[in-house]
Parts: sequence; C-alpha cells; structure tokens
Amino acid sequence: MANGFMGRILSIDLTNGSLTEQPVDDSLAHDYLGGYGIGTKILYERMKPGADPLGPDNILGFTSGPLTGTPALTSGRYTVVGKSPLTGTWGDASSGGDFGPFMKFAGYDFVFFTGVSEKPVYLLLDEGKASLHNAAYLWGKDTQDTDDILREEYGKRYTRVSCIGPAGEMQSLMACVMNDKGRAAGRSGLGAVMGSKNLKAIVARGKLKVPMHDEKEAALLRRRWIPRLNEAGNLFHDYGTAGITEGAILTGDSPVKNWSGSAVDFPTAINIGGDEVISEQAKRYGCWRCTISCGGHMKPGAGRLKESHKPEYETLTMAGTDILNDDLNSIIRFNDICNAYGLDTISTGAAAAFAVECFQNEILSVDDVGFELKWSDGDAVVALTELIAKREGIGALLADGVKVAAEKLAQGSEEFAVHAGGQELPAHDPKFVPALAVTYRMDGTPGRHTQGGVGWIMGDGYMEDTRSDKFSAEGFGELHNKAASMVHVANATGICLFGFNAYNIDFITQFLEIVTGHGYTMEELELAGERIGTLRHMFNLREGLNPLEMEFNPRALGKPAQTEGPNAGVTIDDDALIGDYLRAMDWDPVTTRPSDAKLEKLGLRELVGAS
Amino acid sequence: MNVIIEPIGPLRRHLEEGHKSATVTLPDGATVTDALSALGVSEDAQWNASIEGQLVYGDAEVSDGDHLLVFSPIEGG
Repeated sequence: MANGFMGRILSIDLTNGSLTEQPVDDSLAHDYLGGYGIGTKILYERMKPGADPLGPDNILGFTSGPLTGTPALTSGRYTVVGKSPLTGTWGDASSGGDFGPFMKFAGYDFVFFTGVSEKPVYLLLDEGKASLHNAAYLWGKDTQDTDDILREEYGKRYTRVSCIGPAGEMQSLMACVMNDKGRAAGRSGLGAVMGSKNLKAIVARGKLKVPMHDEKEAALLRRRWIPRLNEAGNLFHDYGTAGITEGAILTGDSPVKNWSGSAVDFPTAINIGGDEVISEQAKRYGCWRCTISCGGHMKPGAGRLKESHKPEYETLTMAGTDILNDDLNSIIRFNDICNAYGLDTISTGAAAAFAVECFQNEILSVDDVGFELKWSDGDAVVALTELIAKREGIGALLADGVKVAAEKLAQGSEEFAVHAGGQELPAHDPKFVPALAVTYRMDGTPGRHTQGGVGWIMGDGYMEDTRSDKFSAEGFGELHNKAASMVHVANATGICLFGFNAYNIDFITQFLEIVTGHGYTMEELELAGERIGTLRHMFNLREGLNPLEMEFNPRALGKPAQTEGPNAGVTIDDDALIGDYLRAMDWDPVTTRPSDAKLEKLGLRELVGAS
Repeated sequence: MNVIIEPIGPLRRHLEEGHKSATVTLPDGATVTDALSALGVSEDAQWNASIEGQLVYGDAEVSDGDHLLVFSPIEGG
C-alpha cells in the first residue's frame, strides 16, 4: 500500500445502498498523486459521457491527498469532484478546515457516490467501517445545525462533518458543500449534485494515523519549516484574505459594479478592507494544524449568526465592490446566510450584482423582486440573498446562477451575466492579471481562480514570469503550463494554495519524500500535474465541450476597453495568449485535442484512445 | 509640506507601535517614493499606494495634506 494513504477507496451506489472497497494502488498514487488527480482518473474511467449532472450516473467524489492530515504544512485540504451542473464540464471544489484530515483518520482516502438514494441519507465513516444512515431528521436543517447534531451524536472531539444545507437540498446550481460550519467546497455547484443524490452529509469519526514512510522525520521536518513563513503568509496570518482587499480594489484586480465599473466608482474600499474586517473579528482560527491560520470568527452583531465566520476577499468583493456595497455588516450577514444555507459566495454575489443591473435597466421591477434594487444597498443584498437561499420569489430565478437566469429573463440581460461557460467569474480581473483570461477558459473548471497561471499563482521560489510584460503572449504558453501544472500538484497532494505561496516550493517535495517514501523530482511532479490537468480537459472534450467555444463575458477582457480606472484602455488579446498556450501544450488549435505524441508522453493515450 | 502615510498590513512595522499612520514633512516636488523613504520603507520594498482612492505610482508628486494609503501587492484569496 502507498504511504500517505489509509489504503481505502470506498464506492457507494446510493440507489441500492451497496458499498465496495478497493485499495489505493501504488502506480495510481505515483502517476496521479491523490486528491482530484486520482479523482479525475476514476471518474474518467467510470462515468459515461453525457451523464446528467443531477442524475444517478453522475459520480460525486470526496478526495484527499497523500499529505492531507500529515505533518506537512497547510495539509488540511480535501476536494469534492463530479460533473458540474453549472457548466456541464469537469467540476471540483476544494475546502480546508478539519474534515479532510478526519476523513483519513476515519480510515478512508476517497469516497465515490453514484446513483440516487430513495430517501435522505448520510454516510458514517468510522475507523475503517462505513455505513449509510437515515437523514430524514436532518433534511431541511442548515449546515451549522447539521454539524452540531451529528457531532453531538458521534462525539465532538474525534468527529467532523461535511454536509449540504437547504440550498443543496433544493439543488440550487450555486450550492456548495460545507464543513466545519464555515469552510466551503464552493465552486462547480457540487452541493446540488449532493442534493440530487439525497445525500445530506458525510460524518468522519476516528483517530487513526496516516501511514508514513518516516513519521519521526516528518515531525522534525515540520519543526524546521515552521519559522520560514514568508511575507504573504504573515499577511494572511494577520488578516486572512481580507488583507488584500484594498490593494486588489485599487489596483484593478477586483470587479466593480458587475464588472462594468472601476476603482473610481468605489472610493471607499477601506470600509471593507482588512483593518475594518479585523476590527469585527472576535478570534482568529486555522484549519487543521495550519501555521497560517487565516480564518476568523466574528464578534456578535446585528443579524449575524451565532457562529459567524470572517468573510474572505472573494466574499468582500463579490458582495461588496461588485455591487458598490461598502456596508461591511451587510457583507458579514451575506456570508452567514451563504454558509448556513450552503451557497457559494462568489456565485451568489455575482447573481445579486446581475439582478441589480437588470433592475437598473428595467428588465426586473419591484413587482418581480418585491423591493427596489439599486447599487450600494447592503440591506437589499441581504434580502435578495435570503430569497436566493430559500429559492423564493425572485430567488428561484437567481438560484441557478446568472447564465440560467439570463436565459430565462432574456431582454438583453445576457450582457449582465458575467460567467465562463455557466460558472460566475471570481473576483480577479483578467484585465489586471491577463493570464486569468486563459485559466478561466482553458482549465478543466471554467472561471476558476484557484488554478495556476503565469503572473498569478506561481509558488514561492518555484518560477518567475520572464516575459517583457504581463500582457505579452511571447513565451506565455510554456510558463503558463509550468505554473498550472504545479498548482495541480499542490491541490492533488492536499496542500493549501496559501501554503504553496507562503513557503518555499521545496517543502512540497521534501514532505512528499518523507511521507510517501518516493523522492519525486520537480520534472516528475510537473509531468504529473500536466497529466492531471490534461485528463480534466479530456473529460470536457469527451462531453463535446471545446473551451474555445465557451461563452465568456467580454467585460472581463476589456471588450470594449474601460475609459477610466486602473484598467482604462486595457483590452486583453486572449486569442494570442490562448494560441501560444495551445502551441506550447501541443493541443490542436481548433479542436484543442492534445496530440497523440503528447498523450503518449503523459501516459494517457491508452486511457483516452488515439485520435 | 506634510503628507499623512497610512500603511495597511505588514508595512505597519514602519510605524510607532499603536499608531495607524504617520505624518512626514517633505520638500515641494517630493514624490510618493520620497514620502515612503522618509518613513523608512526601503527602496527594494514592493508596495502599491493610493491617494483618495486612486492608484498612484512611485514617481507621482504628492501635495500638502495628501493622505497616502500604502498596501501590500500580494494577490490571492
């Protein structure tokens, strides 16, 4: 059995309640590392093309990496995988907190669900034993109550819960999977997939140890690395991601006024910035044994949940700048509602901004909404979010995201639906980070900011952007692939991207060697990362989805260029950037299919078949 | 002339403990870089800065009474 793994892949058919187990094969672990790497391989092999994302043939996986739950720094991640109902593409969503490590302490590395349960159920993982249980008494409860009830039942100390809220039960396509009451596997709409299967929760209970090649050395290695936190890590330690908010707004990284405005329209960035957020924080907290500890619980406040979590940068901007809303308390309440009902804050903020712009252009009215929608109105954002969460009134229209809402509304509202292939864009503007014009379209998960890109997520000490400027397509493709591949490595092994940026890249190779016993070279890791990224892409091509044909809102590319603000005059030449990327990847410039030679090099030719 | 500098995040280490901003006295024609140097920010440091919500660069001239916000260039989140 591969070290770093508990050695169990659990497969459950919810239609008939059958549970089967298989070991984690050494070569599978070597070639696909773990997490969504192994998840991609298994879903590609097992899922038929054309499966309804909300039907019995979709497979929903909970995956951990070989470093998850080990002494490796920032190793608290797990990733939910499946076919996305928002985009029809490969879908995945990563989360921190404690649940990922506890899934392993309960004896399991991977759990895959197929079929649909006749009645609501939850899965109990209990030190190598797995069982399905009636969840009728939990159905309709929010994520925090669900977490409390199940942890009370199984013992708080050694039990953690991953679950959906009412939004997932009602199959809102913006629904996420929540754990630890405030951590979200937010994107791709996988909470709706969980709801469609009548699966309310997974309960992980246990205190098993992750088998390691050299456990003692792993602990020593951790001690040696802890003091080496860099400036990025210190910023996130002090502020969480809220610490980048003012900077991102003023430099042009954040979307403003549903991507139609600029920092000029939002001069009060400081009102929702790091210092203001921290002034409302009661106590900082971290994910499982995290040295950065970027999370926080908020002080009690008007309309807030009993356990209110610190909003992330994405939340502060999607419910803030994107709606010209500088009322911090309304954003904290927005975050609370999303956490309790199990909604992705990025998509929900985007849906609210879409609704406001539709209202301002008389596509929606007070008769449709029940109240007036205008920019800069925090109370309206909260009221709208409650309707979305409950799928009531106008909320029923918005709960499936902006693409679906615009298709239903028509009347030119498509212009206001800012998405990539159905996934609402996150709060990092390609006009400011041009590589994201490629990542948002070409990664297997459309509109994803937690994937790599040159000039974006490049790790500490791993690589540099050697181009003449950030807009340049010359040499872009090779650098972009290098950056993207290493982010796949971090994600697949269970490492948090904040750790990836906060410690020198060597920590990943060193911990992988000590934990798994296999001394990966950087070239081996890059190849594994590219293999994972390419197979996610092949999943989409098999579905008939060519990313070059994907809907992509031109506002994010400066088409037309803005006339004021930090991105004034900027239009991204995405054709040139994508063209160079396709060349570097050896993917066909029209179909985007990798060449047979590239598939052979990645060891994928047999799996995907020759062209 | 006097310019108020308010660092956000780690750049606060250039302030006296417990203070949120500092006032520096500069000659006419001084730039943003001059203002930050007066606070003790090294030439190698990376930062972004704004005045009244507008991004300003190192060579921009500052005026008497300007409130200069300085923040980390780190992206992510």
